[in-house]
Amino acid sequence: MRIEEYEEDIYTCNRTRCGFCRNECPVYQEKGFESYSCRGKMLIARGLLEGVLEPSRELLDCVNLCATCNYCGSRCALRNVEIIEALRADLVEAGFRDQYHERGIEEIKRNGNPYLKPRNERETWAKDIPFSKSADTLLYAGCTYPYIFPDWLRTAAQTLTGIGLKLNCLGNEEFCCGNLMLTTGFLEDFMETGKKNIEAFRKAGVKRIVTGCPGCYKIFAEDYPKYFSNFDIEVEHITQLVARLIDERKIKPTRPVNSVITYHDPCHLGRHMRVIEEPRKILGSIPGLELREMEHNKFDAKCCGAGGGMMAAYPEVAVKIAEKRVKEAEATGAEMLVTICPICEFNFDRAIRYTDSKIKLVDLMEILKKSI
Amino acid sequence: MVLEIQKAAEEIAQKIGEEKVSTEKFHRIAYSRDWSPRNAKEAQLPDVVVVPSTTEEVAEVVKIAYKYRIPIVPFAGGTGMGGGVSPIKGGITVDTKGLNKILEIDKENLTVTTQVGITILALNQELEKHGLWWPHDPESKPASTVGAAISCDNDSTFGIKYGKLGDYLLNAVLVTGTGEILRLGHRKALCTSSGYKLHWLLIGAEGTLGIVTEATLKVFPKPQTRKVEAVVFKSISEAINGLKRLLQAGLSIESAHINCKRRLGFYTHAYREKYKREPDIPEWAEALLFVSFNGDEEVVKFSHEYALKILEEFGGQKVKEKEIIDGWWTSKHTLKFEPFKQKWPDSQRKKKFGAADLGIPIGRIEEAYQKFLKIAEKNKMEVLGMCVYNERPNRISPSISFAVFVDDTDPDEVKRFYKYVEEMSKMAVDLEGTMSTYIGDGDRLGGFNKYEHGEALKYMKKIKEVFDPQNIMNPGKKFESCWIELGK
Repeated sequence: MRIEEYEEDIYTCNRTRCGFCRNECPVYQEKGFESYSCRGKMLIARGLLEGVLEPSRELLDCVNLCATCNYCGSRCALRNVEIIEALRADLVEAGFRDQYHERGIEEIKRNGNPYLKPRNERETWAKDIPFSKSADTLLYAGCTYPYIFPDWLRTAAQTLTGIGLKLNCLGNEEFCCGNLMLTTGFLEDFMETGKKNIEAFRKAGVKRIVTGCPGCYKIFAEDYPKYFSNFDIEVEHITQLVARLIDERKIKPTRPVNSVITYHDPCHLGRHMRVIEEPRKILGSIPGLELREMEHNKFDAKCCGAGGGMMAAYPEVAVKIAEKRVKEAEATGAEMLVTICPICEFNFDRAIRYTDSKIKLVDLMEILKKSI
Repeated sequence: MVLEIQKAAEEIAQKIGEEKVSTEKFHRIAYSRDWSPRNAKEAQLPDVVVVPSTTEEVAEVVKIAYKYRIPIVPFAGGTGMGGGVSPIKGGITVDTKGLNKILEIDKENLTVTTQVGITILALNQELEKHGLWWPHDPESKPASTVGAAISCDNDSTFGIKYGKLGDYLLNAVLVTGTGEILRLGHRKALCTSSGYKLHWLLIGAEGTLGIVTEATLKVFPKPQTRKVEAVVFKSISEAINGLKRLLQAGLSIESAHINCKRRLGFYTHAYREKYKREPDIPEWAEALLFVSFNGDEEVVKFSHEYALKILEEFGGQKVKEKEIIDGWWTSKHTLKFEPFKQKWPDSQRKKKFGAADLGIPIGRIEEAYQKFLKIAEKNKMEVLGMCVYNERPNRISPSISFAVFVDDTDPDEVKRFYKYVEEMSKMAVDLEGTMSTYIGDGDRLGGFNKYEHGEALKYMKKIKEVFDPQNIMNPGKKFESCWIELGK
């Protein structure tokens, strides 16, 4: 079992029982049983290690009900999310697969994305953007931005190419990064996807990847080097690149944007990859813009509920979590909820519509564009 | 699963909703232990878990359990050190954290009325919005609840100023062992001479009389400022005498904790690890007193300076390392650990903490400390150290943690730990003290606590019978022990 690798962490939680991970866990708050919190899952992992528990369809649901937001990790010193992902992988290996995850992954294998969208429409967003096939920096689009929020991705690409940056784009040849596969425990599929991607990057001469999707960013920056010893590409999130370009005065936000906004830290960017300051630096460089922080921000930011395969398998739970975050955003009095994650944006969009919220959802690159 | 339990689970689901009841093993295993030292691979599972969200739902659950004579184990934060939530006789675990609504914040009368499943931290976050504060402050506050504080009578960082639950609890709603809903206490009045103070019986009852579902608590306006200080002494007695003198002088002290040399070593070790240099602590330091003062800035400034002057007269020396003071305050009160580096898991990777929690008369603490070292050595337990908390307002009121490390992967060591607890508890009673001051009897001291209570234990059992005639409320706790031979 994969969880055997984490035996020490699992027994450490078993003997600590501090429970600091529990009360703010977004899924636990919705479901109410200890088993949905991280410390509950650590006892489940112990149960599987000792053979007290058997894998089952019901157990799969419990283990899959986690947005992998890493709130538990920030309140702990153990490898919480890794253990939950290992638990999922063990259940998949034991033959228990969530139908929605499986369907999404089959779609990825067929069309390169989980959204039932044709492969040849992946690059529609990129029409007329002056990408350069010879550039060694790749703007990796991901699946969600091109199919769900193509305009925002286009804005990001225009901003970067607009200052003369040479970027490559794989267009229709680009393939999903494999995040959904890894996080839901479909490890064999993830390994195949990773190999395929690495080969495509090699052929295109990619030395650096820039991406706007925090899920893709985390997978490339943190997981590819762990799973693929031949992966040596430098990876940067778009906010890191843009913050640097602002420092170097290559991007100059000069036009005032007289709005009050709040910023949502995507879990995979903030808590997972610790990119907290760069988005704020970008927002702070825009004249006239007032950033009002939500009650929970930076490492304490509440999750949108969509990560870790939740959006695919448990959309009703995911949106309830997003609705709470939208309320928190509204409480700041901000006109706009700004973030930089297409998965969060997808879920917030639903939550805003379901609750008739007046707050406007805007991608960070879009608001930056207004100032340039 | 036996038929009665299956039937009870079905009936409960009908009454309170299917989504609030589970017999799934993976849900049940998540309720199999608390923080008490027990074998690493031990798992005591309840047969059913329920997560009610109102007093009425709790009453429905208990009525059904009463009908089938099924044990009920109330569960809250699950951070206790006494095995109070271990379902040692199976039955229905009632997770009370679903009862987490604040019912009324009364600024005028300085009270809060709340369902008791709310965590202490969450309650204070809400109170803060109104400029109020419930100063009951255990280190477990992000996880432990108001109900757990009532039921376990646990300690507070600020006990020497604000006391414990007996000083806060004005009123409570209890679901008895028959499922009856009772209101106990004196509403929002701060004292009463009418009737018996039955609500006080709930403090430390560990769910053996029923399930507390709502409470009215005394709260305070949040003080403006605070000063935290640390002073080392050549002996524990000098630290105690210094503290005595501070109170005699009329100072209002917010917190006062005296640590032995070994506990001091805990802080200096953390300092060395973090800052890679030797802390400036004198060799002769045998005791470390942490104190804090709160209130208006001028009052705090005066109290702090005056206190230092007095403590110096008792041989005290101010700790120069601000980081040691900050480190203590972080682990005691703010809990603002560096993200991803919370100290509890890392400090228990190999062995866990275990403690005897004794009340010792103030003049005999030095003697108790020496006996502690001997008893720990005799039982081959590695000493972590002694910390004297003070838990009643404006007096030295020791609630003492005599802590050791326990290797929970070694069943023999776990047994030796409970032998250590037994001998320490006897020692406390022999010194005219008490066996437990913040953990409770749990599944440790029951039966054996006759050594402390004598024939009074019979009366306690009779009181339990009045509230819980079928002995279904947390059976196996308080009157029986899993660990100590004399309680079996």
